[in-house]
Amino acid sequence: MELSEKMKRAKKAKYTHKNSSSLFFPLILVAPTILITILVTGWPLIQTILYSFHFFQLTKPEVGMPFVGLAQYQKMFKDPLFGKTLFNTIYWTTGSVAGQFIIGFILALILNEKIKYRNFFRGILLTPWVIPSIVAAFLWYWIFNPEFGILNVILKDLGIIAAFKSWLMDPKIAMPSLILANVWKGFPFAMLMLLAGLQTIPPDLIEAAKVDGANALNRFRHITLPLLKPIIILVTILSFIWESQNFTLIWVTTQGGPMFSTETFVIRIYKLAFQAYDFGYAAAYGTLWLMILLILTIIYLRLIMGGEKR
Amino acid sequence: MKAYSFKWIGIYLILIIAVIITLFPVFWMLSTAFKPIEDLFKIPPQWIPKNPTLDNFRYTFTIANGIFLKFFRNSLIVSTAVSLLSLFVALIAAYSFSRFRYTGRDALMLWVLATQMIPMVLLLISLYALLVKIRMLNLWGLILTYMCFALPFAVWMLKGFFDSIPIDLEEQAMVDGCTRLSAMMRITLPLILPGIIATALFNFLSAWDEFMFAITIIHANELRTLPAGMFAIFIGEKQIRWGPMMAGSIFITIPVVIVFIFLQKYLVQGLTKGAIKG
Repeated sequence: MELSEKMKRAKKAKYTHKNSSSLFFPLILVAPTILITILVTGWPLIQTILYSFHFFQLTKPEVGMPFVGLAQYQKMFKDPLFGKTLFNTIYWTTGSVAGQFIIGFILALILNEKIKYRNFFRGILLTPWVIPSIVAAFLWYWIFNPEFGILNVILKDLGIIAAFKSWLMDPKIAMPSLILANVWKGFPFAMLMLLAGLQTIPPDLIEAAKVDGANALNRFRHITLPLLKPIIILVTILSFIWESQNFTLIWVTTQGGPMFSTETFVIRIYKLAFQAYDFGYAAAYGTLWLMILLILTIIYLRLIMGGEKR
Repeated sequence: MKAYSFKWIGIYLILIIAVIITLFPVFWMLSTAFKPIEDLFKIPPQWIPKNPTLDNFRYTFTIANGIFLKFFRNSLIVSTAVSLLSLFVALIAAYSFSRFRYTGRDALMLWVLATQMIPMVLLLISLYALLVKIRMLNLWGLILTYMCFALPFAVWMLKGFFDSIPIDLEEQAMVDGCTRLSAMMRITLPLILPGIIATALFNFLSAWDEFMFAITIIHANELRTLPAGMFAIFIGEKQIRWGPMMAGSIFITIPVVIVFIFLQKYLVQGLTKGAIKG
């Protein structure tokens, strides 16, 4: 382990200027990036966390921003919507990520076979990813329309549903419906990345396993999966980060409704900040959401890395 | 032999179903956009418009004195500015991260990476308060705030591309009398040009797509970008005009598709290259 670490370092050194004697020049080069990221990310983040301890409503400038300690956090934990929001966020994120990942993986495995017109199929299957989010949201809003939506017509013709459903207006099915639309939009990314990963696996390895008598399932479990692990981690973490803060699809179609059944943290925070103009309370929600995200990410990484040690 | 052909039938069956499900919504967008309003609400529906018309497009382009074209212009300005600005700033930072070793380098790189994990809505709260204070609720304010996702992305992508070019090439040129700057400009930059294009393009598309900041920061209808503007015109009306909405959707998708087809190779290559290197 140590040796390979050293070799890596030695290899890296070859790619860098040896006489980087002056610290000044490289720092000048990164300075603009650091300054801008502090301005648009670091500073606003700290500011938002500070807001969460202050009363701050844009509509009441005369009150100013008095310090209120943990009052807004207490209010949040008593808020009956808090638990629902947390549940919805987990439902939405895991549903979307799992759906996108599974479908993306199946299609990546298929595209990795020696099929005809592979590039053509890959190009077609990337379509949803290329379409702007707002267009995807409009499209599905129309497809899900309770009276004239094409989904109802198709499903009824196929005999899958008996009567037209109000996909986005029924609290019981609004969330699964939106997840379906989101899986459609997002699976190509997982597919693309996993396909790229699959193509780096040397075919000899698979052939050798075949000769040794491993069946397809075993080859998949003991060769493909372990080799793909880094890319699987990357894809799931990226999708998790993106989908947990997906705003466009939900805002265009349901705005968190009906009966708060699709209200995730992002929607809740956005409503508190930009409809109620209660920046302090929104900030408390946001800060807690950030903590939850961090904890979930750490747990996930632990689980995966833990599996590696066995 | 039989199991073998069953496998291929299965594979092509799944592929064809996937293609149909993937393309159906797009087909439906086209079909809706070319239908006159009275044909939209027919059941059973017309799959292919029987009386195709351009009325929906005409409506979208002429609504509110052609405001749609203003949205288009605003989107073009914002996306171009974001992709170019982030590219220039990121290029020198990525060069520094890739070519030099110095104290604090790892910490700075980690910082740039970590910024991407922060939910944007958290940043929006403070950025909005800031922009109100300095009276920048306009396109410049929007471009500035878009740096929060465009810049870190560009830095990481470009660093990966610089890493893939051995330093020897640059040092060789420096031995031959080039300055460090001209060695980078003449040797390395041309080699990673595809990566640079892919990075700029990806940020262009991200800015073109961005919705939450755009509906919040810009208040004046005249200054809205396409996603925010279309949301403002089409959603929230009692009777949503599906035909014009789909016509507008086609229109804003076309530039993206053109850019994508033209540069698909670089984009896919660039994204997956950076990703696989991890």
